[in-house]
Amino acid sequence: MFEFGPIVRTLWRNKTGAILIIIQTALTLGIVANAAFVVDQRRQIIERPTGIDDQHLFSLQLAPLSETSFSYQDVQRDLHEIRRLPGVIDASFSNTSPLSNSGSSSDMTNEEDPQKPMAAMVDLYSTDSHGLNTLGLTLLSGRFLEEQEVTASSSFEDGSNSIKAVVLSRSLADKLYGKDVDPTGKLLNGLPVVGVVASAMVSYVAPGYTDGVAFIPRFATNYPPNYVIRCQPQQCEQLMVKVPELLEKLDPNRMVRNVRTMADNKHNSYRRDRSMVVMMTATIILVSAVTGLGIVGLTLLWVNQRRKQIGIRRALGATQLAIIRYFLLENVVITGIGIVVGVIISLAINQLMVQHYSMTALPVSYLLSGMVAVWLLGLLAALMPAWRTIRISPALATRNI
Amino acid sequence: MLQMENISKVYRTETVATHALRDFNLHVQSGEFVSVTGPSGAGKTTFLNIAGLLEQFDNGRYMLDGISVSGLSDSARSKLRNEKIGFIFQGFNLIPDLNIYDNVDVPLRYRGFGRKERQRRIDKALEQVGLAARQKHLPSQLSGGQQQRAAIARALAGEPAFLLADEPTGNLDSIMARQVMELLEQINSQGTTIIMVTHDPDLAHRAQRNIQIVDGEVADFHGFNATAAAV
Ligand SMILES: Nc1ncnc2c1ncn2[C@@H]1O[C@H](COP(=O)(O)OP(=O)(O)OP(=O)(O)O)[C@@H](O)[C@H]1O
Ligand SMILES: [Mg+2]
Repeated sequence: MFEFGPIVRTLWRNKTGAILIIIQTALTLGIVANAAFVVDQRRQIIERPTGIDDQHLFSLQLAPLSETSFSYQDVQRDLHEIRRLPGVIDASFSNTSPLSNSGSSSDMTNEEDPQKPMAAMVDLYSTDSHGLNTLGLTLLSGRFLEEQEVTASSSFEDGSNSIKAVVLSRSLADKLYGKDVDPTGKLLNGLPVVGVVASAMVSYVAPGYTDGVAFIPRFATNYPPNYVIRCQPQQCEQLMVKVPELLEKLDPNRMVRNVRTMADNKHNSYRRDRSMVVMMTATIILVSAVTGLGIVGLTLLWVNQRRKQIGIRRALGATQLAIIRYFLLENVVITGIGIVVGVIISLAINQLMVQHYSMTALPVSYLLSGMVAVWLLGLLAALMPAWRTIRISPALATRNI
Repeated sequence: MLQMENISKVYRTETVATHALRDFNLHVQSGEFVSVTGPSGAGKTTFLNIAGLLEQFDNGRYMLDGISVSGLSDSARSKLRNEKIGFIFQGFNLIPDLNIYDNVDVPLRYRGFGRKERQRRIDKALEQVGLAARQKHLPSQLSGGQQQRAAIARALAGEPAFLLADEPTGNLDSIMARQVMELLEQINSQGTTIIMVTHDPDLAHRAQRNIQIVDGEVADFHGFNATAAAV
């Protein structure tokens, strides 16, 4: 029934084409498995929840026309008026546009145990008492910042001494104090920790770039401030027009710029990840297409070279199906060898990458689904050429052409 | 055994229609050795192809071993061919990538025999044609006569009731041709029906019966001791 023996012996006598396809199949498996893994990783990154209400937020930045310093009283007045607009849930100031991947970061160290200091990279996010509700954060313990704690000073003055409170995200607290330890009431770098909120991405979306967020009640008078506005559903669009108009009316002596939704910020911040997904997906398609076409070409060539032989086999009693089966089995043998070689190569390369570049190991599941995919690709590519053997007449055996 | 009545076959190309067989009638008894002669283009190969179910015919009736062949599906025809008919071709038609053993094995695999049975039959067939020592050779490593004997072994291994040969000695010198002819006669003496197309009048006369095809029709019958020379 299955002619594996003769097929393998025949291939052995016609190695060149087969070896090319084996190499191509092996490379395809290696590339497809690894690229699919990268695609999935990046997609997981893109799809992670930010922990803030990013679909209902926008921000804008004030720029002075003449002055170079900003008064916190003006900011308080602006925010007060903005909060009164219909459709606004809450508004607060900030040092940056959330999820824009720019902000201020700093090292912080918990030195409670001098033997074992715990350090972390911190996203320092300045805001006021409305920050919690504006971003849509969840308070886990203690309290959020309070209005009277906000200090306004130029960043050239020694600002950090004047900071009166700090709220940590849970991920940062985990890093500095240990998993689920409540740091409320402790001092961090001299600042009293007053509360903990659920983990969230605020200034940055890049994973691993910071360990978490520290919210501080500090207004830098020498930097153009950002206002963050949380809207009711479907209200952001009109508010993105109304709020700048309101600010213009309150004080025409300044400019409003960078009016952006957090959804857009998020979209832009993941641009590299998305282009990676596109690139890798294109690579998978391209490599599969090239290999598929290679298999189509080689199988067509073999079918043509063996027209006479097919006629002979038919004369000796082969059904049309038996001839098709022959070519498909031949394909299974070739892609099978290619897959085995591909698995060995992929594992070897991955092992090297893991050792020397501390990359994540390729999960076996990707290799397995890659094997199935490449195998199906091969079968699919061989199907059309194999099918064409139906048209070859058995009389080819007697009519010598 | 083989019974053809009013068979006709027309090959149509865009410009011409060739009547390769017209009103063709023939009965062949079980165990006969029939030689077929006739001028080139007369329809000899066409007759063999139809007899061997390699080609369909347009009109008429063909009974093979009591089975009416016309309505059969392609796979039923393949099965019948595989079980009842052995082919020997002028150009040997061994599969170049397979050694002699694997070549003889081809029809047996399509027959669905098990490993042991196939091996037994291959050994027996190669023994019969005197090639037992050459089973690992590729066709290209054998002489013309040896290749034709290997092809005969392949046709015999399935123990067909019918052996159809299209100029089996056409590519061989006279000594080798005689050897092959002797082999066919020996096979026939064991009960296999043989129909052989040939251009060689001497070989044609060694058969029990010679039929001559001219212009797609059976022109002449010759008895066992026929004297008329084939064209
Ligand atoms: N596939 C085909 N298409 C068109 N015409 C064909 C085809 N096969 C055979 N013929 C024609 O049918 C006629 C009979 O051909 P056939 O091969 O049966 O002759 P033959 O007696 O075997 O000749 P030869 O002794 O040269 O082998 C010829 O005229 C040939 O040209
Ligand atoms: Mg002929």
